[in-house]
Amino acid sequence: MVKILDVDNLSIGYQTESGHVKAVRRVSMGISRRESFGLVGESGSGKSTLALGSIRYLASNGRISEGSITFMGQEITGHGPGRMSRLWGRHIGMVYQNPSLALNPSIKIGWQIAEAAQIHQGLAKKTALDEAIRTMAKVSMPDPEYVAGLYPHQLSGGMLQRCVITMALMNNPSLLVMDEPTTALDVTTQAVVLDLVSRLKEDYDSAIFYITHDLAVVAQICDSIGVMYAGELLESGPTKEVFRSPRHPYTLSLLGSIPKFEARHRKRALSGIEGMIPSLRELPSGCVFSPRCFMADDGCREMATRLGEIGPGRFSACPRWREIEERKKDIEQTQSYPPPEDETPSLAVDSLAKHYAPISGSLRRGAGRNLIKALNSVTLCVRKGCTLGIVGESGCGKTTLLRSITGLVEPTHGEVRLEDEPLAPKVTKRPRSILKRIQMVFQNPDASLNPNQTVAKCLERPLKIFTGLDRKGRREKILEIINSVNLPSTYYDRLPGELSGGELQRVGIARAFAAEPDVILLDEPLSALDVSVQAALVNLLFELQAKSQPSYVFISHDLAAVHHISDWIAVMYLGRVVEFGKAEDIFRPPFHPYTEALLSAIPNPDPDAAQTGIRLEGSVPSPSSLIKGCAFQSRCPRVHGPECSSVEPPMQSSGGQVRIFCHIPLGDLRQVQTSPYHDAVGQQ
Amino acid sequence: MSPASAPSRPSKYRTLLRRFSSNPLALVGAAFFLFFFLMAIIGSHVAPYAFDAQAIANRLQGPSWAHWCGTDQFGRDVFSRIIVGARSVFFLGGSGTVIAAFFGLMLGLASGYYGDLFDEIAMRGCDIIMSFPSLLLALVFISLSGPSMVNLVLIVAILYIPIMARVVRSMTLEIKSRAFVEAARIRGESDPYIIFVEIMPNTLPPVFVEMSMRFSYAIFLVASLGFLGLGVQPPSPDWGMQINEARGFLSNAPWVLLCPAAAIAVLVVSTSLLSDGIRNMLQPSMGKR
Repeated sequence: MVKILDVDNLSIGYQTESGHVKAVRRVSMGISRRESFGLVGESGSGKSTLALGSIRYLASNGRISEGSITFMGQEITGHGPGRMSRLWGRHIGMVYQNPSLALNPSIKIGWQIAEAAQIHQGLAKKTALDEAIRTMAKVSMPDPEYVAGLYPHQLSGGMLQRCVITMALMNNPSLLVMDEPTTALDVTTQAVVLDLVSRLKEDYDSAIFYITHDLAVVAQICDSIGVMYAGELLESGPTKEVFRSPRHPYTLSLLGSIPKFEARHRKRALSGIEGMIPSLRELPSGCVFSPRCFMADDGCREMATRLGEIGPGRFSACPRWREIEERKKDIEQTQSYPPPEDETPSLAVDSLAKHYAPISGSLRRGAGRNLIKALNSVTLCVRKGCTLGIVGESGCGKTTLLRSITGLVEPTHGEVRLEDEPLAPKVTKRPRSILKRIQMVFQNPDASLNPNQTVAKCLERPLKIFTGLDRKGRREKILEIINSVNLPSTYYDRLPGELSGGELQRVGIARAFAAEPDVILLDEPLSALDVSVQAALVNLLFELQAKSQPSYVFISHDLAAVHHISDWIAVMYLGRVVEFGKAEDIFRPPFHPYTEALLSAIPNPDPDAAQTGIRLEGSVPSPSSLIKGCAFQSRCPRVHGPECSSVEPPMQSSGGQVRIFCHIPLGDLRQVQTSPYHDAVGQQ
Repeated sequence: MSPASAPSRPSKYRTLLRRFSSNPLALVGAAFFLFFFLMAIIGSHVAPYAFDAQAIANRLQGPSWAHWCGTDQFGRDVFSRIIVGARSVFFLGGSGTVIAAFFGLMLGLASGYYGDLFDEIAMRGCDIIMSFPSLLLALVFISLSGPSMVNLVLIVAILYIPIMARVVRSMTLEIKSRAFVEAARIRGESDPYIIFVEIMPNTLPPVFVEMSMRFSYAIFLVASLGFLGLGVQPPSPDWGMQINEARGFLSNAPWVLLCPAAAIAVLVVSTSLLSDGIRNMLQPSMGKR
């Protein structure tokens, strides 16, 4: 079969301030017509460099040092930017990660999309616009004529990404390069965009080069997959085969790092990968993955490896790939962390609400009539030593909930109780004895540590405030804490700028644990990190909880992660809890229609699994006080009747300990819903 | 304080120094700046002539080996007067800038951190000061209060406090929302601790950059006031005043005017080169265009 894109033995380097860096080394790969190729790798693996390099779209300090690229049978390795620009946009379409940066904010959507056809096909302005609207309709854009007349700021992220995709498709490109196109989107929106992408290669007869860090996305939409690590392609082949039987230890470990959405895997340690991705300046000798590989021996550390064909269409860089099947169990984790028997409540929130005045500009306070209801009578409870997971898309109020618990924002109504003792609403009014007991881990590890303070200084402060330890005692304790989060003692006087993202997050966790609190609030602690780092942190959180029994409140938009580490789960939408219950019961039918939509939207890291097809259109409405009845009614695929838009949904209890806020009788829901568990689906 | 096992790592200061010295323009700026700074300290001791030594017989002589920049209308050595005059430039501009930086820092931190009404009042106050052309405001102030050294320092400070405060305020607003400040609040830290230990160190790099820039503007301002006769009073030497006095002889003795003017230009340009260098050193991502 003729390849649209054929990359042979390609190496790409960057000239930087401190020397030459070989970001991609000796990579060979190809994509055929109507094929979608998923390139996965953790940050710094060189996947974007490879993708952009293969269409000759490198930054000015990037150089191709060896190898060749053939595009549609034509050698393009030596083409200058002038010749390439006739290919870019015409035969090669590009979709970027952030759609709001990819569009010009001051030009109407329709004209921006039409521009691609005007330039490359020489169409007149009006014809081009008609063509744009036709293409928009083809990618199932609702009401394309209307959308074409809007400016980018009037559209949501998912709609914008669809516009960018439309723009890339205007000239029927042979190759569509997509660089993390759904990473910035919510799960339900991502699902809609992924559906679109998986249809494209049939409708447009083009090849898709899809770059992502998310294995589940690749499993769902790509025919073949390439796994990159530290600038080298370690394995490639048909997606199904690679997922079923990985032929490189890195692929196997990477698959072991993602929490599986299966009941029997809950609360288990993840296999993860030891160590961290090497710096491109100090690459290990021999196989690049050998320092972190569970089956590496002296031979691996000495002899450089190259990608070789190991079967029809399958390539692996590991010369010992035959051993993987039997050594697989070496990294299988058996440690599981069941919740404690003790059922005394630790932290409870009772009908908590937070309303904001919409305009908070100077001298205009109090002018708003339509309050923004960020939180609406949320009642939840965490038991001692247990984990409460809170899941919901952006704007659902989960962060506001955490901030109200800490007292950083003062709730409008309701109260927070710690072991039945009501807490002052404002953090400044709480006594030290209370402050000591509630600590928080933040989402962005870069921002959660002061760049001017060493690790020791950052850990010392809570000890100084909350414990009576003297200077020497504090120092010993700091070293102990540093070791307990699996960092070496040498990190004592490091500054945050010298640490990687995962290490920073460990320090953030260490700081929260320093004064041995009873409740730890985790605000998306994993979402900014790479898959293998996430796995190591999940294990760390399990270990620390088993040791000192704090309660966790874990918020995340990642349903699989929440499912994996929580004992209790609350699903939030527009500032309300729509479903709350024990983790083992909550994802069994019946569930709230929103939970159902979330479940069917998460991509499944198993390419053989059947996908359920519930998709939410539109975007999360603004949480203003104008909403009557059920908050979800505007997007609900199962609207029951007129009461949905007039009466607050009642609480219904299903079997097990689950509360569902919905008008639909649970019996009816149970009949139409299926279990999301892949193992359960497999059994049927 | 650090454990014995801590490995050596590249010193932060060495990195900064390397970044600074890799910028040739900044090095040139630094060299001229240091020359004038040195003169400001020891100028009166190394000047070839006393700044006020008159020799009417030698009036308005052109540049020669004896008088590098010639002599003025009273036969005083122009070069010596420039060297000695550096002190007042540095003293007025420098102390004005330092005072402005200190109060601007405090005002900006408080404004950004507390926000609300205090911020509103402070920032509108700054707007009022900034809405006047700086030279005009300085003229009014000096003519009302008299041209003393203290008043000159004061007006430089008053003019630059709002600018410094704005820089610090916007930094504070951004840093205040970062998670480490929230972590400090959850720990129950006091406001002064959060402001001075958590926030302030992070605002200092832009404050240093702004200070070096303000200093070059301050030199201009002081020279302009001197030119208008509202600066340092005679017989003390002052570059602006020198230019003003030399206006009448521009056609037959241009050096008397051009030399102090060149001194101002060189010092201003070298200070802004230096401030660019400092910015690249402290905020490497900002310097690139």
